[in-house]
Amino acid sequence: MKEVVKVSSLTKIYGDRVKVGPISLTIRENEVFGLVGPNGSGKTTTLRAVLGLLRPTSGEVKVFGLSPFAVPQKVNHRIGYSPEIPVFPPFFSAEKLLKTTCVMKGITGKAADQQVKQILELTGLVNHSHRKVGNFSKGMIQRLSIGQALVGDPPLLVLDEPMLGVDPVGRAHIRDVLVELKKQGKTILFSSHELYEVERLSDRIGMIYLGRTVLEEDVGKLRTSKKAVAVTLSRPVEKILLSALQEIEGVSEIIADGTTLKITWEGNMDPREKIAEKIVASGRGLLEMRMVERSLEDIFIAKVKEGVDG
Amino acid sequence: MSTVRVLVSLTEYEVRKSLARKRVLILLAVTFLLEVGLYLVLTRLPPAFVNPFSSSIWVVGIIAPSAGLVHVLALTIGSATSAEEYESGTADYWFTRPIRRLTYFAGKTIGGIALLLIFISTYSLLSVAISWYAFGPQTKVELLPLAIAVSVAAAMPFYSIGLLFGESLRRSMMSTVLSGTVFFASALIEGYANIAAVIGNDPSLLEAVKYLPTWAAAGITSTILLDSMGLNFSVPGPGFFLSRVGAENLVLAAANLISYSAVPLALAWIRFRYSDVTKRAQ
Repeated sequence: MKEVVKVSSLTKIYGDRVKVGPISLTIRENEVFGLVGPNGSGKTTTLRAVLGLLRPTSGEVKVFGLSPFAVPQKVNHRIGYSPEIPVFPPFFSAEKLLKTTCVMKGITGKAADQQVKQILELTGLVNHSHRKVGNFSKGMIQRLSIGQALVGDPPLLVLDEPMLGVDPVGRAHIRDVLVELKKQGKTILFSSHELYEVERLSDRIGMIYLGRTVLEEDVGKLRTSKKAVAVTLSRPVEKILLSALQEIEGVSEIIADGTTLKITWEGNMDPREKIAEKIVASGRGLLEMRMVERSLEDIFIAKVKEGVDG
Repeated sequence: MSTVRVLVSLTEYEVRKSLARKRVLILLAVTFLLEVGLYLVLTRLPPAFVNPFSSSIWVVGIIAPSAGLVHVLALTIGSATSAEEYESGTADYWFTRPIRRLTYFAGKTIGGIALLLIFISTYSLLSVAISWYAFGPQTKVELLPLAIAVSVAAAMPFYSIGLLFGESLRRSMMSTVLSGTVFFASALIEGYANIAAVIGNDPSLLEAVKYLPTWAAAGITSTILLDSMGLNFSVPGPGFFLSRVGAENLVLAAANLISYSAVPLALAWIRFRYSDVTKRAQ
């Protein structure tokens, strides 16, 4: 698959010596790439560098093989962007904003009218097309923001926190729009705090922590690379049992909380039989043991812990 | 064709944005109230004082704001032209469009100037209308386009200075305060220098003030209009005390206007062209 975005060893030093980077990411054609990380980790810096809004201190950014700083017009023609906190002129109506965006992308006349109509339908804003943007709710602003990003049918969409501050109904609508865009074959690069949403929508994810890329992986692979069981005991866990479980080959992580345990392992060996044996031998009483899928949140927390410990 | 459309869109946007701002609306209201107030005062003056120039009295309503208020309005508009986009977060919207930065900068600058033109034209027409109504038929009204053009040109230096501060600081209120400080400081220095020149009989001070940004900006409209009307008295600019007033050396005045308009504009462009697009002020 063709590389649409390539960020190589990007660093950015801000005036007050706050450093972000090195960050490296590759986003391929037709994939949905979720960028996750805590506040201030460098997600927005990365996205702004991809958009040519922020010149990196070092490193390189290529979008469709072009530098967004050398040929910003060419790059911007092929990108649709929705910012973290979308702000539009409050005196514009939704229709006026989309028409102005069409003019900026060189689309005029009937083609512009048609495109505005399609986008208003897709984003569910047809009935609000003449309303002033200043009177829009947060969810409507987010939808309009995604809508204006779609003007000109760009092959790459860059969405910074598209679900931020949106209620569950609005969120569901935005999710539907993104799923539809994914079906249409768009390449989508989006950042989010909502790990659940990232997990649902992304093909691949990039994790940024403390200004560095800590992970770039296929979501499916990530979930299956480690397996885990949730165990319920009749009596609270003791340190001796934890040490015994830790000795089992392949076990990489144990999270204990009262009478419950979450045990993760890596590799092809299945240690469930040994886990059961050790628990029974400890006399803690095994009530239940079931396989659990590791969520992106679990992976993220583990990575953050690794980062802190490292 | 596409560039022209983009420029028109940006100009239209800039005018609408400025008209939606309270600061600008207040200044507009103050200017129009002052216009009406000025003519109200003139109608109350003894006829012997007003009659000699009653047929040309429309120029008073154009000269009076050009001595001060127009510059305050110009710097207020200029300060917000660029800064407000960063403050509100709309900069992200514009800079991720496939338009050249020069087109954006030109469109926004033209939009600010267009607003000044609309504003100056409106109060100039108001002056003619009130004068005609209160003092009878007016003469040399054909000079109105010249009066408007000179007033707009005179407002350019402080519009550009406001724009430079706005682009550099990216805070509209701070830029308005700083460019306002430049205006009032220049006007005060000009006034004090004029007084000192007369009292101390030192003509070099009168020469020195010609290099201040207010000298041509506040004086050129009155000089050109009064000369064109054949009126031989001067309506003062800020540095009027006890001295000759107005920008009587037109070549130097033009050079002053061009310098104080072009240099800040060029610096604002350089800063804009080569700096990052900062995020919305939180």
